Amino acid sequence: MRVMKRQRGMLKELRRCPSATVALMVIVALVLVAFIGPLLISDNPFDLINLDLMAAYTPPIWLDGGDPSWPLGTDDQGRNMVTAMIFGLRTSLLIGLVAVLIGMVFGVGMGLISGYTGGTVDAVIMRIADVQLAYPALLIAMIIDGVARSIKGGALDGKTAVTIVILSIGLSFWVQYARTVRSSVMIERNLEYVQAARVTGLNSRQILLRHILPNIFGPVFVIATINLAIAIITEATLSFLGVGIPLTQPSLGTLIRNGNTYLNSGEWWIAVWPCLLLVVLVVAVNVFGDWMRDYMNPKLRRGVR
Amino acid sequence: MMNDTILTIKNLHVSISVDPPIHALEGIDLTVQRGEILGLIGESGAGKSLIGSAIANLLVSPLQISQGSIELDSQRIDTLTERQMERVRGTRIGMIFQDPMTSLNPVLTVGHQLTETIRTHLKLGRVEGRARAVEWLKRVGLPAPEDMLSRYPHEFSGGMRQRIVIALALCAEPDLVIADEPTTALDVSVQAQILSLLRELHRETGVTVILITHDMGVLAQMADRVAVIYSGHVVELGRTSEIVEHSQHPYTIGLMRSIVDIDTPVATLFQIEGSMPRPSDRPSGCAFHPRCHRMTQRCHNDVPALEGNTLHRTACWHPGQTSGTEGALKIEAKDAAC
Repeated sequence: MRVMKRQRGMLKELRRCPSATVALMVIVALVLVAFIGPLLISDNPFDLINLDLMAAYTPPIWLDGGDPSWPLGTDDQGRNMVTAMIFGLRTSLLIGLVAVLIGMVFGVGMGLISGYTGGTVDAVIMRIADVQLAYPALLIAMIIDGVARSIKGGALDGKTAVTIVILSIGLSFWVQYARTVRSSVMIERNLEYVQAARVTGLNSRQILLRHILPNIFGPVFVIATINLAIAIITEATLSFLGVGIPLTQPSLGTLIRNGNTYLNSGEWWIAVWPCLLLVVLVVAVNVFGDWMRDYMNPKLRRGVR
Repeated sequence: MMNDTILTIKNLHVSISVDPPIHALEGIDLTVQRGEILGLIGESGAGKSLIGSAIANLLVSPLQISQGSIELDSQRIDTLTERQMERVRGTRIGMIFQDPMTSLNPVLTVGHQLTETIRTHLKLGRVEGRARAVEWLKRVGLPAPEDMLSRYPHEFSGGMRQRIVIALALCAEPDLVIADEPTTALDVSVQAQILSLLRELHRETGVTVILITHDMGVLAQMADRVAVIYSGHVVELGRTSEIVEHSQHPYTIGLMRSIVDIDTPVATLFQIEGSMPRPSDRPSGCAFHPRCHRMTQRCHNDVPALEGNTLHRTACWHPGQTSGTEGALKIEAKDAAC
């Protein structure tokens, strides 16, 4: 009952901001398409049986040689670009969401412990973070990816490859959360409301999770929305570099990598459509995330009740 | 009621652990009777707030209790583990902080903060917890308490917030409340309202209050007994009327003379010359001696003990009431020395 009331308040507030409304609608539409679409499409374009090599390199429908069966054209293997992108979007969204969740939970946890405990624990965690920060996130992801692959050995099946990519991207993010959360916790823990919470007899865990965490969640949320975009792009880059997931397990990244080969030979559509979709998704997530941060700060909320 | 002691502080030292340790509090002895209001007064940095933090075990490193004991109902509470202390706080000890702007969590609703405390300590269900929260908001004089529950702290004025803070400190029904400068951050007209609310709640609940302030006027209205703190020591202790009318210690006398009376025109405001020493370079003997007009060699050499009867104790080698000119004489002497 209370949750419903809060959600109605949120929608009401959302209507005041058209850009966030559009962004949310785009996100919902893309998520629906990505997760329900594959269930409705009978000819999985990544099932080798469905490939029709004779139809390869068909241009989009409005160009010479276009075919109504493939409105946005086909790639080098004769895959329908529309269905290929729907399958690719599902993988990309999954990787992005889970990777961000892993990085966020791990990083926020580390940051809370580090900032609240201080002393040696803090020093150890933060030095590890500093070392990791010295390397670009992409390189970290590649290192984790490479190590995991050599441990598993040999060729990887699609599922394992996706899991490794998710883990490596997620773990490459934790430092940002940890540092942000740590510094915020160090400020918040000295404020009187934390002392007041201690005096009311709450233990450290309750104070951290129920009192400090809600206060510092704003910046965390902003990083998360930016990271969601970065995670999708990182996965695309990893796949583009050939260390991500195999082409048989499509993502927007693998589609772009594949299409990149044909950019100079005139078959531009193979790379451009997935690129456009990626841009739309990333922009929508960022716009909505920005609004969400303002919404979650009760001081910025205008008196709607 | 007379001999029902709720809190006993013996020889309390709070120190900063450097080498050699700096004693921010140096041998505090205090007892608090059940149901009374004990006022702690002193200037900034005297250590009055530290006494409050030490009782609630809220000292943060590098500050720590290095000597002495604190007993709540004959049970040592200074040696409890953090986990045991969590049980004491809230149910036994409540705290009202100075700044109502920062002592409420800005992102949680007032109702959330109240019901959380009530339910944690009184083991009540959701509905009863809420009802109790509404009841407390009503008791501290907030209009339309049901609506207030779903509001955030920033939607309230300073005085209303301090009322909420008071409700928060008292709602778990503690035996002892430490009010650390509860009115300092408020403007004068609101101060009076908050003080009368505190007094009213004190009368209704019978809770013991330790009131920390630097405002002698507040104490004169509120406290049964007063302890004057100077540079980590209790220098004078006694019934409020005794302290106000018959102060013996030169420092307390100075404090009393600093109060401005609205009906008496004065050309210049009285001040005690000099400033309180930092704990790191506290002078030998009586800490007040460099500023004191009664200073003798003995004050320089030996620390005076807190002596007297139960109504009034003074830590001074030369106690006694004073004539009006002494402070002025001291100022002249200082001028000559310059």
